[in-house]
Amino acid sequence: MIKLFLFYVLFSFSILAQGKLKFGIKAGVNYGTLVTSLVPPDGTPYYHQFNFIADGFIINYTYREWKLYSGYIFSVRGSNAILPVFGDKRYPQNFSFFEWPLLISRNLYSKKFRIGAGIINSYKDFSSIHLIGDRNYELDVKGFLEWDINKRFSMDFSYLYGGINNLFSKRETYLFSVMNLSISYYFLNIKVGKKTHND
Amino acid sequence: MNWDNRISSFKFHQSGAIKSWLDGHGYSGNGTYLDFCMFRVQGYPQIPSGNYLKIWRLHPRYGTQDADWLIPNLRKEKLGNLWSTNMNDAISAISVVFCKSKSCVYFF
Repeated sequence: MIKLFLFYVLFSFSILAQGKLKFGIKAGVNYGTLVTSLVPPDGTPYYHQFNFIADGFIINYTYREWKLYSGYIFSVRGSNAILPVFGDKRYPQNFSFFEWPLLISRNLYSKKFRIGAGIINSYKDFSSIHLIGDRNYELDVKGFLEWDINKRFSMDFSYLYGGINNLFSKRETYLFSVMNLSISYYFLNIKVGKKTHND
Repeated sequence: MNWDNRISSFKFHQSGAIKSWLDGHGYSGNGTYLDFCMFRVQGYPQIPSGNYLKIWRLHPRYGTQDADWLIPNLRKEKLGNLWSTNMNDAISAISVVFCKSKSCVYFF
């Protein structure tokens, strides 16, 4: 998978001759719940919860008003649920994923604000609850708003709907509805080719 | 009973006599599920009980004969990619829960 990732990065950025390449790290918080539309109704109530791990490495490429994103993020999603083994107490049902995003954004009114969307290739690493249709890979969709605070920092708010590939297979598994607020720090900025409108 | 290092795999049966029992006692169809819960010794993460908990949940369909659900190797279960949970190890208790319409029956 690492080879595939490197190939994707090299391929993506080699076809674009001019622009700005940035490498950084990202940290954020998730707030979401499980979606049970593919699970037979069993009377279990699910509640939104915060997860404070959504961190990783990011890379993006700016060309004129467009920006491409990728990276490698470790993210914990989940829900609070009432489980019979704990009586009426809510119990966190956490799922951790390694996410490989492929996103694109465009300037929104000014260079500092952007709107974007894309897909996330997610590899499930841990589940606190398993269903018969669980698979390790899932495809997610994401939309986001980004604010470039300065050259080093940016902040983004996003919404992710996880597991859309399972909607087609009708496999019995949990889907995910996750909002995220993140801050990114870019430690390496590289200008590639000629000057762009964003320089 | 001590389950530590004694259980490495398990299987949910969804056919034959067991399935007939589930169907006959109302433990299949909408509003039902069967949980297999494993607790680890004190000190593992994910409280409220103080013990780490992992669940496998089956939703049996009413009146059908379905393939078994095999969980083949509990040693491969992970908590984060950085370390393995090895759910075969440090098991303090297991629990099997049959639920219908939010009313549950426990074994162990």
